[in-house]
Amino acid sequence: MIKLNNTKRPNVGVGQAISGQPGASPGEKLMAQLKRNGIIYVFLIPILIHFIIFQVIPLGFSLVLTFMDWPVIGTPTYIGLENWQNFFTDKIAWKSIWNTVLFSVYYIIPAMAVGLGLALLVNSQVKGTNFFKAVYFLPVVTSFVIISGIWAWMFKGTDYGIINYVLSWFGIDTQLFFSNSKQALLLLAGLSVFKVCGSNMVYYFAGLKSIPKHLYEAARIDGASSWRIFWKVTFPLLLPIHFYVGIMTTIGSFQVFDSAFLITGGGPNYATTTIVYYLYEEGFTGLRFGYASVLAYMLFFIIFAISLVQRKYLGKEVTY
Amino acid sequence: MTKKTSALLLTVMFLFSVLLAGCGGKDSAPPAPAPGDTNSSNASSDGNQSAKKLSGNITVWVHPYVGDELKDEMNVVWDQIVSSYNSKYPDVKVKIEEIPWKNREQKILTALAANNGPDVFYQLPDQIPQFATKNVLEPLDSYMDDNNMEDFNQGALAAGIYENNLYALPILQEAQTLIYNTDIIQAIGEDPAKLPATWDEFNVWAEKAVAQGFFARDFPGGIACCNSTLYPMLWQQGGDVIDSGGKVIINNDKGVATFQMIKDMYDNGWIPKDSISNQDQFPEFLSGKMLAIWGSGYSLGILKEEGKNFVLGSPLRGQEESSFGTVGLFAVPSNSKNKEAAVEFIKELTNTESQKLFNQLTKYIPARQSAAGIYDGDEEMQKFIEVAAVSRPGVMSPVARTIMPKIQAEISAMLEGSKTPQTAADDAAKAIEEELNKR
Repeated sequence: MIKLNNTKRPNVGVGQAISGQPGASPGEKLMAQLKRNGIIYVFLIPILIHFIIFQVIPLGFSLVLTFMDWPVIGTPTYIGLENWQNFFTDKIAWKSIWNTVLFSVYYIIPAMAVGLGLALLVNSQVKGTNFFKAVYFLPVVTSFVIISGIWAWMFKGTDYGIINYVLSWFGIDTQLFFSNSKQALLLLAGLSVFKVCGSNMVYYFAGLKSIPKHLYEAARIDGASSWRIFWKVTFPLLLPIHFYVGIMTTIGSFQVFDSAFLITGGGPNYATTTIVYYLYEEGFTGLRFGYASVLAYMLFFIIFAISLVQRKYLGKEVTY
Repeated sequence: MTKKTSALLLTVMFLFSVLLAGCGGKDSAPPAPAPGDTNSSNASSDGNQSAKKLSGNITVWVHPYVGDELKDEMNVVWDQIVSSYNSKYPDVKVKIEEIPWKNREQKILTALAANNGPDVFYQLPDQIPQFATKNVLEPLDSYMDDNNMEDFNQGALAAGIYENNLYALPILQEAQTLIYNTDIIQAIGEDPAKLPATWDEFNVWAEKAVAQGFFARDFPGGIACCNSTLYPMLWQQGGDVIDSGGKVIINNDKGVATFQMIKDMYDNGWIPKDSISNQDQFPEFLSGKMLAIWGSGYSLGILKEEGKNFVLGSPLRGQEESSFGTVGLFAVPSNSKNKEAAVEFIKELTNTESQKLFNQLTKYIPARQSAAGIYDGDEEMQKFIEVAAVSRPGVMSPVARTIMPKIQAEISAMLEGSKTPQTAADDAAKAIEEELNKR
């Protein structure tokens, strides 16, 4: 291993070697580069053009918008830092950020845990695993509008709502659910967990399949219990999957919009107003695209910071 | 892979990338002109209608005003209107495009912003001040000399007016009122022929209904707030959100009294407990759990289809009789390249004959008095026409849309018990003022 580290990197292209030749003119260097890597550029250019048009330009343009009163329709005007200043005094914006953080707390770990649990179940080789795999994956491929409708119907906050009816068997009082500002966000997180756990199951299932069997055999020979094997072998070796699923669910949690839009409209009393929902309302209902862009940038900063933290703690390489 | 094959592959990929790059370049280029731009006439907005030699294309965005089962009949109506228009302006090609209701506002906004929107589009009253203040609507006053404006129901016409300028012409009106379940009326020992006309009378019925385990009425306080919930009650109590001088008055004594009424209805079980977030309590009415529901001609259609026993009541009178009723209007964007042809089309679209054709099929109330005859002999529609006379199209302010979620939040807080009616009304007023002061 030490020897390998001291060895010169072998993957330096011939083109690079030629271009690095002393005395070669810039034109010759360019030609040599094109000759060697031309096919790469051919594949790369369309993607780069697409990336620039649909990612870089909108990103830069939205930064410009933050300094403008941009009503979409009508005449835009430059207003300096006013949108940014407004953000710091906007109570609803801070409330929406707090709601989004709370939603993440309710959502990320349960979504990962349920996904992992389902993956362990379908990986246990019991009869009919393929059937259960399909059933668990069903919410992922079902329209969110339909699932939201079913969820809202089930959790109707009256005594004739189906969940309230079931709760009444156990002597539990009628719950208001989406009409209760303490329960509404939790229920939206539950809906998202239900929707996403099937896809998390697939990622974890793939991760479980990639863990070499001999490690389990060795652990069993050493007399480790199933519980111990899970925590000492399975869980640590799934680290890359935890990292990927963690990042994806975190980003998903900070971008939550559809359930609030479809079921609660951000209420009651702003209890389910998330940052993206508020951004949408400001942009498309209030026609304040400048301010909506500020909210979008704040969302970007939050997701970026959390992703960095996650990368630091979960983004370690795993060797089997 | 031989050198020849590699070279061939390289060439093909290069051409492919150039092609894609070309497409990408197109995307970033200024948007293609709207269909109405091509062969556009030299129409101007100077209102000179003497030389009515119009030509070019116009694109009209309409929506699914009827269900799928009546789609073919709706297309016939559009064809008849276009044909009548073309008999006057044969050189104008009219393209009717049906845009789904879902996300229609975003579609209109983005199309107008990209300068490739329609030449005529459908507007709702509370959008008109918002769009008008952004200067995206063509003022229509100068085109209206020959349009028999007195024939429009003045309430409907007012929905198209903002700061004394006319921006849209109405084609339909809707009126909302209370619809009662006849079986429940009988169950509480009342007479369906003598329905409550005032809040005091209704309260007596409500107490009886609640005592027998029914809800008195609906209050879908979720997203549906506030046109069909708070506002009619507020107007009936003599209050308003913003007065004609632009002052926020939602928290005056009449406003607070209305908030208190809603709170009492909730606390006394007159409205369902999920009214804080509910968006539709029609299922409760349909399933016989509710004495009355605030509904429109659309609700009536469903009730008939379901074979329910119902009777149409009046909007209740407190200090005054009032109701909410939206108005459907057609407007011309100021960036239309064929404005005069577009304005002439909305005049055609909202004339007596077109209103008759359109409303007979869609079951809305015509916005012209001369077209109201289509419902002669139809008692229920006559009742809605009566209600339309006392209906308002909502709050006519550029912030009409943005203040609704803020008011809704205050009502939620009040119903949950974290705010008193006075505090909730005061906080609603403060939120409205903040909205008005925003850019």
